[in-house]
Amino acid sequence: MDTKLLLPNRYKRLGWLIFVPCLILTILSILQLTPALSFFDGEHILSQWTTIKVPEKGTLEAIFDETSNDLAGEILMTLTAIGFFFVAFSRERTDDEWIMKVRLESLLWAFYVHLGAFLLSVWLSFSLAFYAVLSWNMLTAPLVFLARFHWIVYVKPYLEERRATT
Amino acid sequence: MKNTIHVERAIKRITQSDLAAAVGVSRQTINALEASKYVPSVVLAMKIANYFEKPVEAIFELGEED
Repeated sequence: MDTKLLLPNRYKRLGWLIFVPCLILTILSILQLTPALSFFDGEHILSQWTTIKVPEKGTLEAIFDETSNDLAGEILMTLTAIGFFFVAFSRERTDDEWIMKVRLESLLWAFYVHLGAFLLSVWLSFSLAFYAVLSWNMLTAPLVFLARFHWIVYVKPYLEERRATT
Repeated sequence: MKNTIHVERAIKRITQSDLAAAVGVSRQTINALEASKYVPSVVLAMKIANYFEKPVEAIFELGEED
C-alpha cells in the first residue's frame, strides 16, 4: 500500500479553505458579472493592493514611467491551483489501496471528460468564443476529478447505507 | 471474485469499522469488498483471512467472470 506520492492528510482541510473561495472568485471573474470582481483585467476592489510598479514585458509604458502591472489574476489562479493540489492530492484519513484505485480511476475520468470537452470546443466554437471555452475547460479536469472521487468514496456509500437502513 | 466477509463478520459479530481498523483500511474499502465492487490485493486478502483465522480460500473464491 504505497501512497508516498501524496501530501499528509492535514493539507486536505487547508486545501478546501483555499480552493473553494478562490474557485468562486475565479468563476465570478470569468463571468465578468461586475467590474469590482473582475480580477483578470481592469480595476477591481483589490487593485490597490495587487498592482505593482513593474512594467509588463514588451510595453511602451516602461519608457513613459507609467509602469504598473496588476497581479490579481496571477495570484488568484495560483491560489486556485495550489488549493486544488492540496485537496486532490492529500491522503485521506485512512488511505488504502481501494481509495488509491478510486483516485487513479477518477484521474482517468477527469482526463477523458476534459479531452471530450476540448474536442467539442475545437469543432463547435472558433475565434474569441474558442478561447473563452478553453479557459472554462481549464476547470473541467479538476472539478470532474474532485466530484467523481468524493462521490465514490464518501457520498455513494453513505446514500446506500441510508437506503439499506430505512 | 466472491467473498464471505459479510458472513464471517456476522459470525464474529463485528462491524465493518471494526474489521477495517483491524486490517488497517478504511470502512468504505470493506464496504466495497462486501459488495464485490473491489478485488483486494493479495496482502489485504491475507490480512483479512488471518484476522478471521482461516485460509484465504475459505473467504475468497473466484467468480464466473474471473
